[in-house]
Amino acid sequence: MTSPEQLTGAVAVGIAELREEFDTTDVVATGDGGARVTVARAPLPPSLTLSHTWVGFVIPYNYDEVQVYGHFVPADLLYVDGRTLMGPGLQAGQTWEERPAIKISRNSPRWHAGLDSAASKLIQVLQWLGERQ
Amino acid sequence: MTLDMRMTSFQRQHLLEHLFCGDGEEHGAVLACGIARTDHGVRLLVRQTFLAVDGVDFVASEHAHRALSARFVAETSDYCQEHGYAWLSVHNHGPGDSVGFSDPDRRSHRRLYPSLEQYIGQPVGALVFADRAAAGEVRLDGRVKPLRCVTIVGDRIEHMYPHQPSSLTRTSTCYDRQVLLFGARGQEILRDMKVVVVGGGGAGSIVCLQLARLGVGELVVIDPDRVSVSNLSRIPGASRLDALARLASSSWPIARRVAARFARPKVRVIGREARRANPTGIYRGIFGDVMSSEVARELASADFIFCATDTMASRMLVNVVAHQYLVPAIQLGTKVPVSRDGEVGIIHLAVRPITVEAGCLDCAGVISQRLLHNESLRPEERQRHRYIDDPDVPEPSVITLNMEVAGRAVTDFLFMVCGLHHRDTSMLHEMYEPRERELTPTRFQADPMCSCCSTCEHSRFALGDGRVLPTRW
Repeated sequence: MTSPEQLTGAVAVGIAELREEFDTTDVVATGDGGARVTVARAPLPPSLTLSHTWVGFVIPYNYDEVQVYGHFVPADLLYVDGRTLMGPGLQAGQTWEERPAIKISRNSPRWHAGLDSAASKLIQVLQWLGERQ
Repeated sequence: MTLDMRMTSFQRQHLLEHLFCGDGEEHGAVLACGIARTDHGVRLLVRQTFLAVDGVDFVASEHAHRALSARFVAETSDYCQEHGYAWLSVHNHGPGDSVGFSDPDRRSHRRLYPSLEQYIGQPVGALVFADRAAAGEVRLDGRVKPLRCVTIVGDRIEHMYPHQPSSLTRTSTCYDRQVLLFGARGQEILRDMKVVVVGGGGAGSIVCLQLARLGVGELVVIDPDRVSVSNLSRIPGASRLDALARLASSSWPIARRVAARFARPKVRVIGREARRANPTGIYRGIFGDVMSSEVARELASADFIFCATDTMASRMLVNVVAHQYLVPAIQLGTKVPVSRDGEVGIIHLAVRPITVEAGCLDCAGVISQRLLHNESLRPEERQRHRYIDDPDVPEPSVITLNMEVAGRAVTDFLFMVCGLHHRDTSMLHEMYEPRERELTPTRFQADPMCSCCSTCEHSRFALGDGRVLPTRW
């Protein structure tokens, strides 16, 4: 169990926003003020077979000056047309908390601290996943 | 314990154009200021300027010639109370290089400010400006303190005092030749400065020695590394003994580990050389990581910062401090790309001043969010994220390139603080390409939503201690 004292103020705020937006969120402090976060039930776009999934990512200690980058989803996630998650920005053969995973790499080169957040980034990532051909 | 104020050159121009609009009258304003408390004293950092409209916000008064209206005081103090800013009223006397409060001014301060301080919960005070002088009194923790000076941060670093400080009649003879360029006053300015150099490697070590030779009064160097044999070609004064070279080159792994663990920290080697260069200066070497919160606090009380590291995180931190604490800075570095087959690409030497006028590293696009995130992860996280396809291969580093970039950066610093640049000189970011012998200024647009340099609500600009720095615990 991670207590808020183990997180920087900005990371704690980022996690509170995630908890407001998504069902359940597990948090493990990384020891430097950041956190490893697993959102247990993130809603997926209709182009994917599941309606919800877990998503894991790291919020670094210097969030929110620094983006959240690298989101992990289950390795067996599929599109409704049977396609697997492959292609630019997707890296198979990963693990998250010992579960087989695919890593989604979506960079935010113009990240704005105070405006962008871990929650808004997660929504953008899921949206991108749904819209990619 | 000193009390100072900092504002940008844009803010000063905006304020003085209002106060000295040409009608010869008194005018008023209020400054909302972030606060920085350090071991050196308190700095008030101008976040927002409220100009008082004549006849509406600045009106005839029974106690003084003119005064801020009760409604204007109430509105601006509410704003400061809500945001945790210090509140300072401003008015002007005639032009000149000397200024002070009148007796009616002081009586009005005594009447108004104790209750206002209690209401706002932050320092409360007043400034009076001449066009080339400024005086101030601030109630701080229940006591009135005089403002030592107002520092203007822009392409030039200027100071406004109540009276022009009298210059030294003599400086040390070792400075005779340089004083011919910038005068005894310039030497005094350097002596009174605290300069922090982040990074004591190839470029940072040379910056430090130049600053020490110039006579900078307090020099603080931050670096987490020890000297290795490969550093001896480019850290001035570093010896084989500092690097424990015999152990380091041993075929016995334990001997190499001992060398890596007990070689002299770079900051100690630099300190030895800096003290030789300037025995009367204060030198402090911090053998640690600038990204730790305790070490990063050093930056907040600096008068100038050099960022001579090769990490995105320290670059980002210096950029944040430069805007959050209004500390001018310069980022410098060399980039020597070499392909796997040994072909040398385009070499870049970069000197990037960081002030509100010169611009912010984030807006200039030289802070990569992707690299920043990768660097911010703990080693085991980096492994998990598989950031291992780009092995940690050292880039070339050559003393002549380091000296070139360090010399340019320190010259810019010297000219900024001693007012040696021409009035119309802009402190643009510069890239020098030594293979082409080509110097290119870099222009970029400031992002109006930038979280560092803009004045929008979420920005860190001039907040001082009002926002936690993005450091590791």
